[in-house]
Amino acid sequence: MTFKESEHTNILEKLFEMSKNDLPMEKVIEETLLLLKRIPIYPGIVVGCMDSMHEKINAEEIQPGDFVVLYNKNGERISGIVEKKEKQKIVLKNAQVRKKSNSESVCLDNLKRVIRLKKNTLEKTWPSLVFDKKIKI
Amino acid sequence: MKFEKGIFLISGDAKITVFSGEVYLIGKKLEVNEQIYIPCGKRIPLEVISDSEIDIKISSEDQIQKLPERTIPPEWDKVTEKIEKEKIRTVLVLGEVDTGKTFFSTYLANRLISLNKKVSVIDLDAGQSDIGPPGTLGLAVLDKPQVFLSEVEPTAIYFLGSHSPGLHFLPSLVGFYKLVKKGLSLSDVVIVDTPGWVQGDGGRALRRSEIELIEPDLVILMQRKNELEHLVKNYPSRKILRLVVSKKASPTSPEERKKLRELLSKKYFRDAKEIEIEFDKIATDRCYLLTGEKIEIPEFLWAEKLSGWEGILVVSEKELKDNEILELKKKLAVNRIKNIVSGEEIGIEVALCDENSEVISLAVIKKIDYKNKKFILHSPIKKEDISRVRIIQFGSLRLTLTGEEAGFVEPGYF
Repeated sequence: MTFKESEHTNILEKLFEMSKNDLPMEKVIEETLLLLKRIPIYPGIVVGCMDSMHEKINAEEIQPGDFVVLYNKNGERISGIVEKKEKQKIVLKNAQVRKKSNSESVCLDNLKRVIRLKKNTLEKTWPSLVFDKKIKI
Repeated sequence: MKFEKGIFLISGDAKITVFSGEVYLIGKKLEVNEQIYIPCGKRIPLEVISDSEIDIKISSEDQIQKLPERTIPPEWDKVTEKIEKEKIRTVLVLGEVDTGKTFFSTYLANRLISLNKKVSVIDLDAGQSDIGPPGTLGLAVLDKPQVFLSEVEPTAIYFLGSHSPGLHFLPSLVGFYKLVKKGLSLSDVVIVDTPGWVQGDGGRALRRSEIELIEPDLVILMQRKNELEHLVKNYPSRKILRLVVSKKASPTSPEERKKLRELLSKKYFRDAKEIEIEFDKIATDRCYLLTGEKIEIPEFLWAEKLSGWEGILVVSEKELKDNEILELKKKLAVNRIKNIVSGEEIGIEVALCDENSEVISLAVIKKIDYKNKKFILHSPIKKEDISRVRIIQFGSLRLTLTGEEAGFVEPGYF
């Protein structure tokens, strides 16, 4: 057992924790990196700031220029920068819409790019660091 | 003003002059006509031993408060006796922030000096430096009692390059070790005043390493309850002494700390001038720049081949784009390009050291002139010392030329 000499790993843990809140992680990571660029020698303070990186507000409080994340009743998450605010609607620019689905059928003819996430990267790149989970003594 | 025997808490700004009587401040006997200035934010108990005539210049009467009893616990004096009796040479003072470690260290040093001991105090708090400017660890060999260690000219400083040892563990420990070694060679007793980071991974790692590194003859725990016990569980109990924190120890906010740091940095750089140091006269330290083999790549201001897999370092006017880096890697047949952007060096605080890495002075980089191969610096270094500069150590802090804090440099960028 030893001690951590840097709190950088806590940033990763905080990002994972935030990802469970259905936040647009690309934006959260971008903001985190900006913070880290500003105070690169204080990763612990960055983690402290990450808790106040987002806040729950009422729709009336939305202002043009805000980066907002909207969750609608259809289960969609819509995020982007508020360009215009009207009485009954707002217009977002650079908007992203993401829908969660337990099951989705996709037509293969319509695909542009396919990526598969791999799990055995350590085994391939640095096999000497792969250990059995259970220690046999 | 006539003062009867008693204890008076004086809050700064205040100027104290003793005309007659026996008066002590932090264990230092004030001489007749000696003037002591207590800065704003500091509260110091004045011990009037016999009826005295003292002039105290203050702006409000609230700044003098008569206390019912002595605030310095009698146990503090027993520490002096123990050090004297057991011929103790190294004392490590541990405590959380705002527990009066510096006050205690000063008091202990003054009491030992009154016993004709030569005493060194090492200040490991680079964020709230009393000895040396912020961003440094300092050593002061005291030849007479002092009220404020900040008024003492440091005997040696070690450049940490940061206000916190976080991400600077190795220089922090190297500096600690070097200063203790120096202190032991110059004095009878070395008192180490440590920063208040005593918990969590970083606090435990650093404080434990310090204990392991020098095996102090005496570890003093200044604790409110038992918050420091985890640091000495595996240390011989005969070498540990526990002191209760004075109730008068008051907290300092991060804003006040920043203000105090800036005041000290401004004072340090007050008489700074522009100096130039050519690349070929010095070596750099704690950076990649100027540590490789110079190569010519016409499109860059500067380029050098670094060691082995570290690749090539290039200095450009603008940050290289991903595709430009990719092309360059192909062209130079390397896996790694380290891109430094010209101008990013502005404001970085560096240390100017002699050939033995002893700090001569600090400086702020105004510019690195890659074309004419020289550093343009802002430094209070004495003219006659410039020729002794052999090493420029890079730090992680940025300052304005007047000593205001202006941000950080990402470790490893240069």
